[in-house]
This record gives sequence, C-alpha cells and structure tokens, in this order.
Amino acid sequence: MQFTIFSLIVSIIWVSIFVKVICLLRKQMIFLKYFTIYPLLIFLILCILRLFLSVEWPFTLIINSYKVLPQIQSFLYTPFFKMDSININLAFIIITIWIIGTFSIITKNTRCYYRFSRLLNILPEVTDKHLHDILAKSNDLKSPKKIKIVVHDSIESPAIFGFFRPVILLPNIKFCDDELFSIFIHEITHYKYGHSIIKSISEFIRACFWWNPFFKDMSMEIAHILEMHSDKAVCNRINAAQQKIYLETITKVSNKISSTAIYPNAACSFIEERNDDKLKQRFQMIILGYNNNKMHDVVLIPIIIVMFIISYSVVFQPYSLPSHEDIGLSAEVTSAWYLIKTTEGHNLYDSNNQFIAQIVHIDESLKDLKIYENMEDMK
Amino acid sequence: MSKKIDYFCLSSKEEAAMKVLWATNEELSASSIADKIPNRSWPASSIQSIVRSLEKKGAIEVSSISKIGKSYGRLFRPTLSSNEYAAMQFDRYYKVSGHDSYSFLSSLLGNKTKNIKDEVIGTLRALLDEYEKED
Repeated sequence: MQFTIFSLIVSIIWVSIFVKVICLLRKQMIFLKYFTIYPLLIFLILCILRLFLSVEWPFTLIINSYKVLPQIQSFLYTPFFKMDSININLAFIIITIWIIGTFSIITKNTRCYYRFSRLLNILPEVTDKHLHDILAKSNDLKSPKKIKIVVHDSIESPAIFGFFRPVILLPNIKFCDDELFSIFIHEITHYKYGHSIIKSISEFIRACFWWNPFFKDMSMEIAHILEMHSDKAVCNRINAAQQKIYLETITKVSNKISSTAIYPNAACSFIEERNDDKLKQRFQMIILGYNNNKMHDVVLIPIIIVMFIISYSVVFQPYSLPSHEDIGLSAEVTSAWYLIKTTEGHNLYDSNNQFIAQIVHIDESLKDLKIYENMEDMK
Repeated sequence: MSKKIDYFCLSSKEEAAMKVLWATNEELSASSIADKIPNRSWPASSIQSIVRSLEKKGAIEVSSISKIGKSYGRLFRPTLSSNEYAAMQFDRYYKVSGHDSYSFLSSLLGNKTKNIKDEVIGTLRALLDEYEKED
C-alpha cells in the first residue's frame, strides 16, 4: 500500500466520475422507485473513503506514460527562478494556492461553527412542556439524550446542531402538533444516523478540493440524500393525513427561508437545499412513497463495491529512468566512462558500454567525462 | 430596550455576566453579578473590568445608585434582552456566512443559486394540490 501524487490524481478522477454518475442516477425518479436511497448513500460514502484511501494496492497496475505525462511533469517542474534553495515552478505555485485556499476555507468554516455554537448557547431553552412532550413522543433514540430546543425569530428553518449535545432549532412560526411531530422525527433521524458527521466530512473534502466543482456536487448530493433519508424515516412513522401535513410544513418553511440564511456545515437543516429541483424531488418522493423493498439493492450494492475496487486497478505514472542521484554509483567513475546526450539530459555508460543511469545535472564527479551526441558518434 | 444599539460581540466572561442580568428582573451591582455567575473560575475582582467593558459596548447601563453595605454603588441593568442580542448575532452571522466560502469560485464557474422563494413555492403548491385532488 503506497500513497503517491499519482494515486491521488487517479482517485480525484474516479470520484469525480462517480459523483457525476450518482447525480445522474439520483435525478431519475424511476431509479429511486426501483431501488431504495441506500445504494446512493453507500456509493457517496465510498467516494469519501476512496479519497481518504488514495493509495496503490499490491494488485494495482502501474501504467507508465512515455510521452504525455513526462511532458506535463517537465512543464510543471521547470523552475522559473530559484529563491534560496527552493525552485519556484508552476507546481510550487499551484500547490501554494491550493493550500492557502483550503486553509482559508477551513478556517472560515471553523469560525462559523464556533460562532454559531456560541450563539445557540445564548438562546434560552424552550420550557414549554407541550413541546417537550411532542419531542419525547417522536424521540426513538435507544438511549434518549437531553435535547435542547430553541426558538428564535432569526431562525429560518428547523435544524439540528451539535454532535454530542444536540440542539433543535425552530423558527418562530406557529406549528400544529402534527407538524412539530414530523419536524422532530426528521431532525432526530439526522442525529440518530450521524448525518452531521457525514456532512462535516464531505464539507472537509469539499474544502480540501475547493477547485473541483464535482466535489461541490458531491457535498450537495450527500446533503440532499441525507434529507431524503430523514424524510423516509418520517414517512415510515406517520399516516397519509399526516404526510399531507408534512408536505405543507415543508412548503411553509420554504416560504420563510432566504438564500442568505446558511447554517454551519455541521448543522442538518429541515430545508437544506436552495435548489428547486431537489426540493421538488423530496416532495415527489413523499407523495409517491419511499421504496422500502431492499431486494433490488442486493444486486446494485455489489456492483457499486466492484466499481469501487476497479477504481484501484490502474494508476498512470510518467516514465522516467532512475537518475544518478536516485540510484547512487556503486563503482568509482573512471575516465573511460562516458555520457550520451538525450532529450531529458544525458545517459551515463561505463567502460563496458553498460548503461548506468540517467543524468539530469552533470555534477563535479562527472564533469570531466566525454560527452557524445549518440552511440554511433561514440563508436 | 427599544433604542438602536450598534453591533457588538461579547467575550465569554462578558457573556456569563450578561446571562446573570438576563436571568433576573432586578438591577444588580457588579459584585452581585460576580457572585451569581455559576462555576466562576476567575477572581471576583475581575468583574469591575468586565462591567466597564460591557458599559463601553452599550450592553448594560447604570439604572440607579444604591447603598451597598457602608458605601454607595452602582446598580446595572441590560440595555437589550438575550433575544435581541441573539438576533444581533444571527444578523451578523448571516452577513458573514451568507455568502459561502466557495461563492467566488462559483461565480467564476457561472453557478448561480436560485432563490427558491417564488418559483419553488409555486411548484410545491401545485404538487400539493395535485396530491390532494388525487386523494
């Protein structure tokens, strides 16, 4: 098992392809009618895993590129100038911008999380017994936790926030008991299945690969599928009349939210998407009814796992001969040794015409050797 | 509590002091604020600088001067409620975080987030009406 920059690049390419496939499948209502949402969720979690495990396995086939990749590599690593002992090249500039971007996004997200948790700390807990009774009725956690409820005018969408001490946020809207019951089931499902953790990890990946639009899609798809997962849990526990009320609740909340009210990534909001297609799909899924038959998934999930394994099968690398510095020289260089010019530098041969190494820079130990244009010239 | 207050942010110590004032309807002296802070890990004498800072920020005001023990001392009350302070913080939070960290890149890529308000509500209403008709 080995991590290389090439295994990371292959990983990014595969995950981008997977995310596009997931987006296409998720948009198909027929797919969601035939399969449950779990294969897509598993696929997305495997995408996250694929990025964290961007390695070459013993079975991975390394394919050497002789032309294209060495040229790209040479273009990226050709120094513009030298600053102290650091070569300033295109790769250095790109990596610096990448790191600065990632660092600033993660810092901003962390600050938002900290600000928001402090903000919720100020808000007094709702003491209304009736509200707590509905919460208790909807709470199906094995070991019910103390869940704080806060209500405020500035909260636009119900949400749950916090990994260990969950807080349910409610907007200052008049909700009936059935509406509150379904909202609480929805939010508790987020907490029960660790949706905030999944969302936080996906947002972390998005921050690390901020330049890749596919990773933004991945993060959005994860948020959307987690919302559908919570909707499914609600639908399993309410009757048809309550489902209608649930749909009205979504509409009611959608009416209140503005595009500027963004909760921290770790919060799971009732209306996560500011995207009309996704909200419409949630609506349609509730109306049509979520598929609970996992029989078809039995076929799909192994296919997804096989695709995941196949993604490890090949890694492309630029071909290069080991350099003088890489292999070191076991024998003493004599004046009978010689160099032959190549496009990348020089090839070093010993007195028996045996190839020794590729030389990029001719150092002190080799500077006195004869240099030939080609083999014929030497002969 | 209706006058316009400029935005300010409280430190954790100031927040603890404000929570004491928000929890009561009474005016309190600096020392009684310090006494009422639960699990206080800092010396009570620090309350004077905290109160000064809160006064400067406009979070509290002197409501009266009363005899405390043998001397006279100032009694304080908050200039805004915890809900008003939270609203101020939410407002600030939404302003700072409203445009997510990727908005610059998104705008470069031409991605525009639609405002769901008008279009979506109409679509959702239509779906709901259809569902009700089918029933």
